[in-house]
Amino acid sequence: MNEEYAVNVRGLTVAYDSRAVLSDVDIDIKRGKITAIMGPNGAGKTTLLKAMLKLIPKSCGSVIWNEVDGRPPVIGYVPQSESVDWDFPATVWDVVTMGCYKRLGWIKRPKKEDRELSLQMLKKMGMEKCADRQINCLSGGQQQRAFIARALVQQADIYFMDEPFKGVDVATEKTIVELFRELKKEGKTVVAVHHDLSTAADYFDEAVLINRRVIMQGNVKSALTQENLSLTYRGTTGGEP
Amino acid sequence: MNIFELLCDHTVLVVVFGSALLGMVSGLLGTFSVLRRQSLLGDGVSHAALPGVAAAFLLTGTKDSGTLLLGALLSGLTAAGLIFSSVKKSKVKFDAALATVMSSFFGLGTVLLTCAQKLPNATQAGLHSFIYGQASSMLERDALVTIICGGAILAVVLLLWKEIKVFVFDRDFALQLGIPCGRINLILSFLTVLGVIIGIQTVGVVLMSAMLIAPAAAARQWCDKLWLMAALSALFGGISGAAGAFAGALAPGIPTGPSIVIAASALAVFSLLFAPKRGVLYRIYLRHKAMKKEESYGCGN
Ligand SMILES: Nc1ncnc2c1ncn2[C@@H]1O[C@H](COP(=O)(O)OP(=O)(O)OP(=O)(O)O)[C@@H](O)[C@H]1O
Ligand SMILES: [Mg+2]
Repeated sequence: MNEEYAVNVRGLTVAYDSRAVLSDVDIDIKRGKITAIMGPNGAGKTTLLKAMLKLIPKSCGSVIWNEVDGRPPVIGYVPQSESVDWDFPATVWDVVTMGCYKRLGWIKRPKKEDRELSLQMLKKMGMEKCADRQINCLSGGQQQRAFIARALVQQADIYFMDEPFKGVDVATEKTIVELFRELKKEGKTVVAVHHDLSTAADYFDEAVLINRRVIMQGNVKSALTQENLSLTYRGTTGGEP
Repeated sequence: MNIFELLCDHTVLVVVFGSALLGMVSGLLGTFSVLRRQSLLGDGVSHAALPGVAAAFLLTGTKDSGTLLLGALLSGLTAAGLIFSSVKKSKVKFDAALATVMSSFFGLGTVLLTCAQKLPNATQAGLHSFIYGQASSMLERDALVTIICGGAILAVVLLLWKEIKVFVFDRDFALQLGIPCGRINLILSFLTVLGVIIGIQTVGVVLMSAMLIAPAAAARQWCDKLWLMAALSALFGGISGAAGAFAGALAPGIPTGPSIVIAASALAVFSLLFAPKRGVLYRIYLRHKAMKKEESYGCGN
């Protein structure tokens, strides 16, 4: 229904054990843009992504996904890498091919084009040499890249990434930023949780500042003013409700 | 009896075959229990099966193993349902819910069993065999039940392989892919309960959980792929089942259930110590090598 926005969030409230973590959040994510979600630790950034993706229940509010070419959008997700047990018996290849499981039917194994796609995405993230590595011997940055490659294999229209720059070196950071731009060129939407204020204006088009509620959203340069930042990061680290 | 005679004895063969099959099924299911860090679910369910066995006997008066196992299945499922719903609905943690449900069900089971023992036809009923297991009483019919249930469990696991794999590794990502994680969780738990229940007559409620954990823990040491781990775990479980049953047949005084568990535990201990890469000895060797290297650097300075 809406060409300009990929997703609209209205009045979203999320609570853990009756304690509201996010209250009355309204967010509009622009289609084809790279959006940063920013805020202090415990501000509810991860909670926001998870609630939007229906991974955790919301208390009230609505999340409206606007159609892409007349069909519901495919959403790619890169969780925070600490969210899984990396001692699981699997190789990088196993993890990356999980991205195409939705397209496969019951019992079907990945087809030739799925395998080619997986290899291509591994190469894009500079991980093709690690394909046969056990996932428990990856470094933090390599885990991150494996997860991003897996999301790319999903061939999504919108990518949600929880702290993709966490624990990566300069070279990987550059790779990811280039990837963002490439996705943007393909008309995809990227939403990523980001912590580094100094790079935000370079890497992102839009920014949403949150701390339990939306402080400010809009163009990254106009949103990241001193005033808005001090409102967002004021005093506590997201302790107050 | 010598070994050749044993190998030709029909009853012994049934027991060995049935126990091996049972070990394979629990080894397969144990893979998922161990990886999901729910190793103790099997323990809870098997202990919770006892009141079902005793109640089924008290209500129907038969010693027919089908009826008793049905009772066991019902009370095992009730216990699993109680554990999961109390974790979901309240702040109680999994281990606390499990311990509470398990001990209260086992307590009730012991009381009911005592009542059952007072009935005239219970004396030779061998209801007690459910506590420590009695493989040697396994009949062809019991082996058939194991074949059918084991086949069904294997079929479901193969059919849902991809879904189970993503679900166990990364639940959020699975949900996001549109995999019905609630249902997968339910199915996996049901299969585990079923696997435990068909085993309790042979291995006993007290030791059954070892058959889920030991082969899977052993298998994890040797390989880095989920399907290999599942296959190896089933193999280890099968070997333990056959070995334990054989030991029981060879020396009639030896209880079969505990022998099976000892065989599985021996495999697990061996694997924890000697497996390449993950084994304790290999790690000690690595540390030793690293220290040597450091020393030689130290001399160079
Ligand atoms: N499963 C949970 N149960 C209860 N409270 C939770 C849970 N997960 C998060 N919280 C609380 O919700 C708040 C927001 O958490 P969230 O993980 O969304 O923060 P975040 O912005 O992603 O922080 P970070 O920058 O550290 O990743 C925190 O105060 C946290 O304590
Ligand atoms: Mg977070």
